Amino acid sequence: MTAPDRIVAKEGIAAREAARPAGAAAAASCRRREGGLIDRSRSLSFSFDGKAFAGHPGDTLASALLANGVRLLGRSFKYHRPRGVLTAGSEEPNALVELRGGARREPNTRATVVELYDGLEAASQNRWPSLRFDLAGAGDLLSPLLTAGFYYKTFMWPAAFWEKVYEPLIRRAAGLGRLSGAPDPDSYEKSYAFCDVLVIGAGPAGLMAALTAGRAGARVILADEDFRVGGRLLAETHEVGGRPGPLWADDVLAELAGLDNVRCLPRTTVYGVYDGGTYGALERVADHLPVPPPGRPRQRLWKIVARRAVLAAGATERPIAFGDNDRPGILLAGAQRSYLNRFGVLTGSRTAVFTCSDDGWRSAADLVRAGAEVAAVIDTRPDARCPDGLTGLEDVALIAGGRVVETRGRLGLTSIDCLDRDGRRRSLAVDGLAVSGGWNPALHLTCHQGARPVWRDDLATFLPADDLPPGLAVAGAAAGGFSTAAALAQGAERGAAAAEAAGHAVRKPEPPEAEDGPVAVTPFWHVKESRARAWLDFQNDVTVKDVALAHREGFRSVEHLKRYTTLGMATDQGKTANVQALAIMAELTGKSIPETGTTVFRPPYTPVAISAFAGRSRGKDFRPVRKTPSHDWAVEQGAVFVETGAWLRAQWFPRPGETHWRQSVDREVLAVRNAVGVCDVTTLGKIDIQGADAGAFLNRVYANGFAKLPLGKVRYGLMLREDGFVMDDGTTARLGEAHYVMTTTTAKAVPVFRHLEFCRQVLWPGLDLQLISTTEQWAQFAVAGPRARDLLREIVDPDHDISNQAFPYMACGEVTVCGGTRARLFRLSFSGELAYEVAVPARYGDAMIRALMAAGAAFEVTPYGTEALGVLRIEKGHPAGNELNGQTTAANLGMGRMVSKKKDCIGNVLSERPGLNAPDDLRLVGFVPLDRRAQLTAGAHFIALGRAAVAAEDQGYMTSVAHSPNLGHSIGLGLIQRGGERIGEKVRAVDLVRGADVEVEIVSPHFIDPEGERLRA
Amino acid sequence: MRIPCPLCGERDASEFTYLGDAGPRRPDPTAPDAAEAFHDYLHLRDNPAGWHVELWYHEAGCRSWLQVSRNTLTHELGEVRRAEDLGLDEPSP
Amino acid sequence: MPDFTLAARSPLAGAAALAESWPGFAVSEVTDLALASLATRRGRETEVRNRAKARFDLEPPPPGRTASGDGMTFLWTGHEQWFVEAQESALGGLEALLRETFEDSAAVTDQSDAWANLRLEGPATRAVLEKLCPLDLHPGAFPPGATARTTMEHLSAIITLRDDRWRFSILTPRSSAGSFLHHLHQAADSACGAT
Repeated sequence: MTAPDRIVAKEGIAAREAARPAGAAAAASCRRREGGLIDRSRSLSFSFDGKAFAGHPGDTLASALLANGVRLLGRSFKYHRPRGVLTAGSEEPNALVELRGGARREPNTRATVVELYDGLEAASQNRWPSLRFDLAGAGDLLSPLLTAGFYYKTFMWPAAFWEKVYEPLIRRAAGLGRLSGAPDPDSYEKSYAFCDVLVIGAGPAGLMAALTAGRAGARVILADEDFRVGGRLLAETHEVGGRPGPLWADDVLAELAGLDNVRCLPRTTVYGVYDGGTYGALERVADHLPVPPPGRPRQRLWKIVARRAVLAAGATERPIAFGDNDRPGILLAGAQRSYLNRFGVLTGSRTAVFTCSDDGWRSAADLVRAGAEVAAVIDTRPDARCPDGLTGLEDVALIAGGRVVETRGRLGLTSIDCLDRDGRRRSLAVDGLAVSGGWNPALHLTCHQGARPVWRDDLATFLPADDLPPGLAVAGAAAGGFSTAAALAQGAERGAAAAEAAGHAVRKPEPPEAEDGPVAVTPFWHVKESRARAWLDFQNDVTVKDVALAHREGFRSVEHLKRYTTLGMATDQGKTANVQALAIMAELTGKSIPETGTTVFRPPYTPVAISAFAGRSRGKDFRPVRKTPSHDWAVEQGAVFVETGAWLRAQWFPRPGETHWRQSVDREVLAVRNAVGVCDVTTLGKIDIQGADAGAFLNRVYANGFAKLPLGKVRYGLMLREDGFVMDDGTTARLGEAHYVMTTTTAKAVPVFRHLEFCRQVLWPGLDLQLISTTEQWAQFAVAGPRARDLLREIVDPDHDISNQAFPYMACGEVTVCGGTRARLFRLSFSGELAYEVAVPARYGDAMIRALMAAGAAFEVTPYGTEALGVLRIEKGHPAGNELNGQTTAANLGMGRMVSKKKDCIGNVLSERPGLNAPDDLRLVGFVPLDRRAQLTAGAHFIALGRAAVAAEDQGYMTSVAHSPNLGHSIGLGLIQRGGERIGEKVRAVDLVRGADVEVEIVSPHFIDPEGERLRA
Repeated sequence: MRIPCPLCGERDASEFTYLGDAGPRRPDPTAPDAAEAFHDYLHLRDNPAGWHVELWYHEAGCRSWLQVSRNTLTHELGEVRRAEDLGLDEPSP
Repeated sequence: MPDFTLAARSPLAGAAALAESWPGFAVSEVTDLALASLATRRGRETEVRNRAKARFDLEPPPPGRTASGDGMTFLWTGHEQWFVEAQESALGGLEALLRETFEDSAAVTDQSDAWANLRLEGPATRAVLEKLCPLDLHPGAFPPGATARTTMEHLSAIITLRDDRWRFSILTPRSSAGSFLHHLHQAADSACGAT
């Protein structure tokens, strides 16, 4: 059928229009009595801006509002223009609403994808005082001042105004929805999935791909963002294999649901493609319910690992830019058909179609079939005619070579002005306009690994490039296969190829019959005759003139255009704007579209809430908690806990009457110095080292000598990084000929183990040694104080002699405790007192702390926490985390002589660097305030007396401070230039952050028992 | 990214810890130019656009240090071998 | 001398979540198994295999597999490294038994107290685990007797399929076992419905 005269531009249009009353009918949009994929037998109530409405299961919020005659849904971002619904999908730039109330309020949700549920509450955004009377809409009158680059040009001077004036002003005027400000009461979770074939999109191509791969036995996941499968089939009137499209889709879904190897994920958007066949997907588990069912998350973030994937995401329709093309009532033609065919909603009582392709004509045909009035088809092609296969359009007026130049209607469309081929202007009273500028394949995911789409002149669109992400194939409209038959065939073929690649034998399927119309589009980007603003990016209020301005001012590359005009930004990422803007820029520069370029797309395809990425890792579940073996006992004692990494450790144990933490800590410290204290030190890393070369290995990873550590002895070990700085310190005990146990600091347990494995496997693979962590195996307690031995004699079974002679300082051994429980005993001291560490298998840890406390009652045993531990070690001058801060060397810490020059060890060579051995280098010393009442602060910097507190005068810094209950005043450890030579000198400790400036004296870092007599007692 | 551990099979990159270039060998600490050689070993690294042999540690899995060939432009992975096996094949310094 | 005899306590003793069950899923703590690591000393690979064969009538399993024999189960955990499980009663000290068996051909380290041992079972187990476990647990990819070490919710976990259906075990570090169980509980609520 090629007769161009089947449809004739009626000379009578003008007369017919003249006869119509001005303005549109009362309800511009409404629900039809029948048709569509909604369940009219059930009614769902909902509200919008406080007003009650009803819809049906199967509706979106947008379709239900349109069914109720509500076309005005929001105000635009910058100019507060009245806006309605442009699309029927996730690409929607306009119809953003706040959904739900209270703590569940969610801004910027697209009404076009919000599945209607009973009790849904929604509100319009960015308007005050109301949607219909928005005062900020006056900003629209100032629009000549608010063009592209407006922010950059206007809010420049004075700089003092940036934060205080300009930003609040802009934020108030321009904006989208409001966050609730309350914690989200719902939960979000993550899930992992693996498959042979991931099919993205459940339109004709995706369904066919999933069916083909599924029948072949491949593990298939079919994900679609919609709540109903079928894709474009739901919006059109196409048949597939003689069945109405939606029913065919249901049939396929039913078959897929019966296959064990296929998993269908509706309401799931695959938002990103990552390396190695990993895909991110967001499943909206309970967004279609008022409140998630107990235990269920609102949303689920899937990490899907797929050997192959088929992208069948369909295509997005392009608008055409013309004067005031943003009024409510102007929809994309495909969207208008979606509302008509899927939701049974007429988006206008009298509709015109503006198209540059055959596809737009479908709107006219569907409207006529539904009995609705079509005012005219305005086709930009001078030789336009009714496409083959469309019927019923005999009486529809055609304006061939026509353009819509202007529209009218304050809060919704009432009429349009168009030009015909000969430039004659005429007005049409319509309240609906369906616009089709051609289709853009939804190829976003193909760009996530860096591929750039390729322009195809014959289809007038960008297609996926050849260098797709590995394992990904594209089918259907996303690949330029726009007809239903092409989609089915490509889906079958890609599904078969994917299943075969995953090792499954596939029987070539015969795709069902379907329409196979050619793509007939003559691209048309914008109406040059329009004088009013012609909108390109509805969400960011970017017009054709803004692109022209960017061009004039030199922002011509695609990336510059985007940043200068904000085109393509925000929640829709320019899905309905980018290509047109690019084409207009190409026009302006006189280049072709491929020469002008394209923007590529990054994840996510559509917005993903931060909550979904966080998943369960929120609040107290942010990270796991590690509890020590004595945790429950410490809770019973009323201990105050502190997080050290993931560990919870007792910080101090308050006693009745103690009102300040210092009282508790001072008491605990004095108890250790005068009687005996017990502290859980299980958190220290423990590494079991066995093998013939274990000793040799230790001698290489520690800076000090370990080759001659005798059996039954412990030694302090200093570990350097290869660059000569200190990595960690700890002790290593020799329990057997070829058996050692190393301890690390709590913080460095994991990195030290990793380092040791590096040394073992990469540096010295020839050595015979085996490593395994035993941190969790042993509950370990420090027992410290002059009465420590007395206490342990009650615990250690009597056949083990722990006298000072038999078990001297730095002895270790395997013993039994409490009547036969095996244990390890180490005579180690961090406090400087007579002290031991006793380790029992962790199952006995709880019982052990109770036994120590019971046995110690006679010796006034006191449990102490990490604060007292810190005070004790500062009093003794032992470096810890504050000193081993990654910037200190052994020399800095006064342990330079420990670094053996006689052997190769990690860090030995570079610790000799001149820069690390400067004569005026930092040395660890002690500090006391001249005024004993003054408090020292860690982080204070040392300045010579009488000098200014400036960086140039900096001599070092305080690393650790404590109140010493033994000395009765504040003490500190710190690193100061030539510290060891300056004992007795006075300097200032200046802390500009806390406003402290204290005169201090440099002293020995060993405040208590410098000769070490106590620990050898 | 997914790394095919030669022992555990393909695992997500989050199970691994990255160290860097696998090329440099720890120099002889007794050589006269040891300081200079250690400086190079520690601090001088190639940063190729393309294939690169790197050290990764399968910390969450088998605790093997691995030599991983990775294309830094595409994250394509080539040969992955246990560093210990490779080290044992080499003559010791 | 007063009696301070020490009572043992399992990592999850008293955890409320262990008392719950879900349609198609249950979790329990295994407390009667001893555990020790076994690592081949350099160059002694053949000897370790011969001694295992002679004493326990089993071949130490290859990567990703378990092997059982004579009351012992070997779980592969790393290159030339296994975790060996045995009934606590069969014990007299598993560590001592292994030392005696392998002498200086392998390093043996007691791990009995380092891990919480959870048994997960029921037809919904995989549905629960897919929220936690980043590995493919499909029977084709993770068949009976498979074992793997990975992380779940930032925590180390050694997961093993113990039968030919849906009985899994997970070893996870003792100190954080409560956090692990909490996450398992949430995953079960989500997969099976909260009670």
